[in-house]
Amino acid sequence: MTHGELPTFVLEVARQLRRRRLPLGIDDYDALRQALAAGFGWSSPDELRELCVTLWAKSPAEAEIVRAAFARNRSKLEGWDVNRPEQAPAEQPSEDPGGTRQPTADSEAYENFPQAEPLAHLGSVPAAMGPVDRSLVLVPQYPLTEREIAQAWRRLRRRMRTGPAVELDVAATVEQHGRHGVATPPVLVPRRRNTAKLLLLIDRFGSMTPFHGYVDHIVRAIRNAGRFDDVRAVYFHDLPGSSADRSVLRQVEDPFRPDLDTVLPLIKPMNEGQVYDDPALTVPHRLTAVLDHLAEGTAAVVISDAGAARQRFDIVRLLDTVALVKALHARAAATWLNPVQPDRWPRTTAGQVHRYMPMHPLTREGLNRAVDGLRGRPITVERPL
Amino acid sequence: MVTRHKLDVSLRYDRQQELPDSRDVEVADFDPVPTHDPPKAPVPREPYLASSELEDAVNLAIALGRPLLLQGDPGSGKTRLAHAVAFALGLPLEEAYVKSTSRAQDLLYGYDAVRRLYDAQLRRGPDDDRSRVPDVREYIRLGPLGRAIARAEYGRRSVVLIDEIDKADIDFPNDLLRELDQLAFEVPEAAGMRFSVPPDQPDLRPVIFVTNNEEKTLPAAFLRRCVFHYVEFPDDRAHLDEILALHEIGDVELRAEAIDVLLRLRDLDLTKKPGLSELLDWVGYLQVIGTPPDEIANLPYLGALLKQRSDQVRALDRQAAR
Repeated sequence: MTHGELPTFVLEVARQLRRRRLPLGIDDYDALRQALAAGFGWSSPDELRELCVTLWAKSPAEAEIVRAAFARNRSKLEGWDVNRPEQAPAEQPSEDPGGTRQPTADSEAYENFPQAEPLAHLGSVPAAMGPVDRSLVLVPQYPLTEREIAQAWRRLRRRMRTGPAVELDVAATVEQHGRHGVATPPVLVPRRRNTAKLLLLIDRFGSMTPFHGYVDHIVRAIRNAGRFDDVRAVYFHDLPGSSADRSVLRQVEDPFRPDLDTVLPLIKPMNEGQVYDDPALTVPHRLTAVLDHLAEGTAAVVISDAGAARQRFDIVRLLDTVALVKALHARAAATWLNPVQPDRWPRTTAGQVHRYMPMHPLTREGLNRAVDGLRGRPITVERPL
Repeated sequence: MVTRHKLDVSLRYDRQQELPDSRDVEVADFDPVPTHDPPKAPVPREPYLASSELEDAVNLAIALGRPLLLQGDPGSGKTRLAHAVAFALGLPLEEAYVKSTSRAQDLLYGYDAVRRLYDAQLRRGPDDDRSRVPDVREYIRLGPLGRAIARAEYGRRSVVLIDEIDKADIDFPNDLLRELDQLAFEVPEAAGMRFSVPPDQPDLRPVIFVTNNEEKTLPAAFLRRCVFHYVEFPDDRAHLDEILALHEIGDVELRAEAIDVLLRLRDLDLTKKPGLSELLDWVGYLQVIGTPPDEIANLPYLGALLKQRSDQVRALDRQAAR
């Protein structure tokens, strides 16, 4: 390719997009370079922007991010349409000496900011919002992108042959033919499918309220990862119910010791409780009904802060939580995801729960380890139930 | 060198091009692909009004030799675009409708092992003529993408539509990466059987459209190889009017009223907003049975526009309140 490099400001935009965690690589720069060489995107700054959207964004949300990045850098884009392919590379050196930031370009952008206009009197209709500042990214950005979450959960698979027999089993056919020595029908087997099922138990409201958006994003991403036979999400507040027998607390020898190690075997699995089908907690189901219908090979995931968000320790809650975990363990592989970062778990209920069952933060690393655990990799906990 | 790294500007899709009502195009679904003088059949024109952004995206995908990934609401015309482009360029359209059981290999070829086994066993009788054992190639049928690549090898170009790629298992797009990159594949079952787009001839690369309904997140490696376009619903009246006119809705008043109703419905908070295909169905029927334009506001035959009971109730309530 004889046409030179990309204009510097495009690289600057790309750098900003990489900071927004758009996975742009050499290949994407190359695609833009080729497209420019083929004559696309030269007639106006808008056309260049749309070209980058087409090449780099892979969803409407990402398209918004790319457009916002161009809006932020619009001062550098002026005069783009008079640049012809041959002139563009020549202009670069003067544009960005040594890659330093140019305050002048920024101050120019400030002048175009929308100004608040004080109202003389209150009209009968609400004031219009005015033009939207296109340089602001208005799509939610969560700590993990949908792709990262999907990548983690994609590894949870349980491949089994189910459904109609359509695939030829070569080994069995040859074997049968060899044994009988005459024409035999072929042996057909069903195709392999992923039969992994997932049950998400999600804590709602209270201290989980700030995490609603992120947790919903994670649930959506897991559903869209498209790996599972079935994903069911049920919701509850704090805990689905209480343990059957709270009197075991009286048998804790040292009432000032914040753990239940001594009475652990006495705690019975939770059998009464209520979970809800919807995040608003309006369609109730009995917890036992949900758990009893779990098919073999289901993985259960609890998403809750377990008291870590408010930095609380509550021994009754701990008892009830252990009862829930026991109920889950009896029927499925279970893991816990905690949206609060791990350094805030100690000295709270979460810290104790963490001693009894695997608990992971909602980070990329945490999700990967949670999936590893559900896949059967042994995860050591201090005091297994 | 991978063919994708060469630019091809020999072909351009022009959305405003004047097109005949029908033209003779090579028959797509024909196996094996003839090496020369392929059979042709008339294909009717596909009425389609592409936006200029969409036109640019199509041309960019052709120039870079990457698949164009189309996303958008159901019924916004993603699939029809492939038909329209194929007709405008006069190329055969190879269609692959992805199902939940589809595998990537099905796009390239299918090997009928069972029939071969039967044939081999039945020929084993006493009066068997060994020399008649058929070649393994007779049991291999090329799939849509396979035929397009084979056709390119014979010097002819095609358009490929991979529809609703998110319906299949996530392995599906992953298994296609190499084939989409190199536009070449081989058939391991038949030794020496391989097809490829000539690497030095980018003007033979098939034009590939992939549609996605966002039911599943596609793998990043696949997305990276695509050019992306989100098909927006045309919210301005003039554009909608033009689309209806293109689909032979002659009555100006009928068009205006119907667009009015549609835009109003789309403003409501509905579970599934009516899209273009619903609008075309609905107005088409209203025109055929001769509904007077002033009755359209009463939402006759609402079932063609809104497919959920709750949406219908909401729309009718709003209508009664007006």
